[in-house]
Amino acid sequence: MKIVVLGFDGASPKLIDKWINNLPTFKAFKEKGIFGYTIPPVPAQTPVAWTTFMTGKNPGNHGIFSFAMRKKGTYERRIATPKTLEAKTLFQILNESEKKVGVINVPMCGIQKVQGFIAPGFLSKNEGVFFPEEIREKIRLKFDVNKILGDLKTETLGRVKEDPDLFFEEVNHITDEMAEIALYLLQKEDWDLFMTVFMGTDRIQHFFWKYVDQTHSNYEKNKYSQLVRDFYIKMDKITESFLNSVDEDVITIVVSDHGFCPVEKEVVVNNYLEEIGLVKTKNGKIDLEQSKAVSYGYGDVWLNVKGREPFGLIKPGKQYEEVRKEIADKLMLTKINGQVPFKDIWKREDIYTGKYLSVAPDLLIIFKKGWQAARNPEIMEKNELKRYVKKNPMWSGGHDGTHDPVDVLGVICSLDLELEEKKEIRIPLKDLAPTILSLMDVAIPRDMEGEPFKLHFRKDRST
Amino acid sequence: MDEHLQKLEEKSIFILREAKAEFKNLAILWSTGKDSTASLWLCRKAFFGKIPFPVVHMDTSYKFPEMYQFRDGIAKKWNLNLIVAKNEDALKSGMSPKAGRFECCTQLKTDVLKKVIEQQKFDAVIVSIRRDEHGIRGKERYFSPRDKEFKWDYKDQPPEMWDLYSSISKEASHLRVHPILHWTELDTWMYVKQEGIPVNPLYFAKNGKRYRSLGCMPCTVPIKSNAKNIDEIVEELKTTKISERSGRAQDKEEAYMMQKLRALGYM
Repeated sequence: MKIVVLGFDGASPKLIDKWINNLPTFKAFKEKGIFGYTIPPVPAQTPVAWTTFMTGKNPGNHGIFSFAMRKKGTYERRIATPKTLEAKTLFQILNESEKKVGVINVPMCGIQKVQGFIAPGFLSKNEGVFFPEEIREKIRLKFDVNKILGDLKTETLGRVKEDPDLFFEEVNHITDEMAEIALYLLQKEDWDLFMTVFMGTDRIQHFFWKYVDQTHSNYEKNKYSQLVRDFYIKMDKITESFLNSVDEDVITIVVSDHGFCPVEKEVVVNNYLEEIGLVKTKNGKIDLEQSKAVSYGYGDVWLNVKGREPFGLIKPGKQYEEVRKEIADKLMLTKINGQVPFKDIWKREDIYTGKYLSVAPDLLIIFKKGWQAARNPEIMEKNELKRYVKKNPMWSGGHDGTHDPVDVLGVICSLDLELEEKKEIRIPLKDLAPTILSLMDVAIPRDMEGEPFKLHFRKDRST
Repeated sequence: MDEHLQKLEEKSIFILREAKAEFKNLAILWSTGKDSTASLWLCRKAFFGKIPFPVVHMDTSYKFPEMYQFRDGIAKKWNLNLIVAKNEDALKSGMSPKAGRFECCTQLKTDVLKKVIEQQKFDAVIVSIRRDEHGIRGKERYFSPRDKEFKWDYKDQPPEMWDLYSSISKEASHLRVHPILHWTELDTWMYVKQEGIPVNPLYFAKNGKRYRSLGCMPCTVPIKSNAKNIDEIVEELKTTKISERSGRAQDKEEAYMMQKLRALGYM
């Protein structure tokens, strides 16, 4: 069985529902096929989520816990890249079973030795460049481009507030171009699994969520509400073109890695850690060696442990547990304008298992909808009245604040699959790789943790 | 003299002399660190005691006080034609790593170098990078063309076979010359010891910490070490698995990604 996976990063089931009457393809998924939710990992971040999808493992076994992690045995912040990925991907597993893959713009997927072709995605330094060379040449001849633009330019992203129209123009342009190239390869090349991920949905929603989500406290309907909806209509049309371009015996699955929720205020976690005496500063900057615990700008908290960090201050064992408990207890009692911004605080072993558990943050703060961790980890000016809250964050929508996965569910739909029993579909992302392998009749590696979801091929799409 | 070091030295001196013969307006960059100081030493050997071109120090103003002391001492002792290049405008407007490390490096280092090359009309600059420092540097050549934007197209470089170095390039605005590209960190230290080259005391351990690579103060952290002299450093390097630049805030490759993540709002 051949499979096409069409990914839309951050595509929100809430928005699909909202605009369902303008989205005929998604309406057909609801009426005739399957339409359900994917459950992202913690944190529900693009690199963590797509890696979980690709490996069928929890972060404890693939090693990607965040955009920025602490490099083991140092205080250095390390960015997640395909090089830091510690587990085999679905594409490599298929390759071992002599299956051909075509992979375009999947985040965290770098160059991998496979039969078929790959254009690495977001966070790979080879983003958009096709491997092997022959495919690059074919694309050059046909489309006169050296690589695909899977994502917006850094300059355009940096100027989104000043020039939102340029942002939309570019995101629409790169999406159309990538769709055209992907459809061409889908039809011309030989593959068993074809997968491509469009990033536009995520990028748009971060900056323009408040124009489409009525539950956002600054909700406002204007021309950008329309432009976001138009992008969903584009997504629907691209999906339709994919469905029309493959044979009847191919299963096409549309999936997103997470959804979105409102972001209204940001909390500077390190200010709170300083308030309770754990963060120490030197010349106004955080002194990583002298601090007992710091956050690197997400809902992460890293302790400074003797024997683990170069200048560890906390004894492993009893004292480590006491500090973790102290942080969790104190933060959960912190009120900002009468509200506690935190939903939950988890110890790493509560959510992760596996051999890379030791490089996970020691604690994970889960924020309520509307809140998120301020991304610049440095202490901001002390303002007791505002209690270290940043208003007007850069984003109005988010998913990795860190938010509870159930607040930011992704979507999964197909016309070619049916469920064994009628029930609401909620699939953890790590179950998708084993589900795909099982539909393709490829043995699921024993170390893959996810379970295949009980979905079956449905022969006739029209009913 | 150690045979291995002698071979390294011969090759470096050959490259330096080729560069001097080939270019009208040559200069050498000097960070005051061990590698570029070793290069100055090699220049003195290659040109019989006197370095026949300017020595450029790019001063971000955020260097360690010990680096300035060391710089001025050596400049006097070796009678260097020292050019200190600074981006005064950016510094006046308060540029610091707080504005983002990438931006800070761009304005206080990259832009300064662009300006000094333009002003002094340098057609080649000697840079003391080594292949073992960093992944991407493994692709470097001894003579490496840069365009006006400083872009280095590592896929389109002149071939360097049998040690024949081509310095001709149409698009190049200037050439980078890398005389110690083939050296390793350990080679530099062994050479420093053999030749008795002065090095900055920051490299030696104090209170259990030492600097393995020197940069700007806010963005460089010391490593845990008890190596108090060159012999102990050599011993330490033979056993360590940690990268030399691990104490430096970030690598360039990562810097571009950081810049994008910042624009996206992820950082």
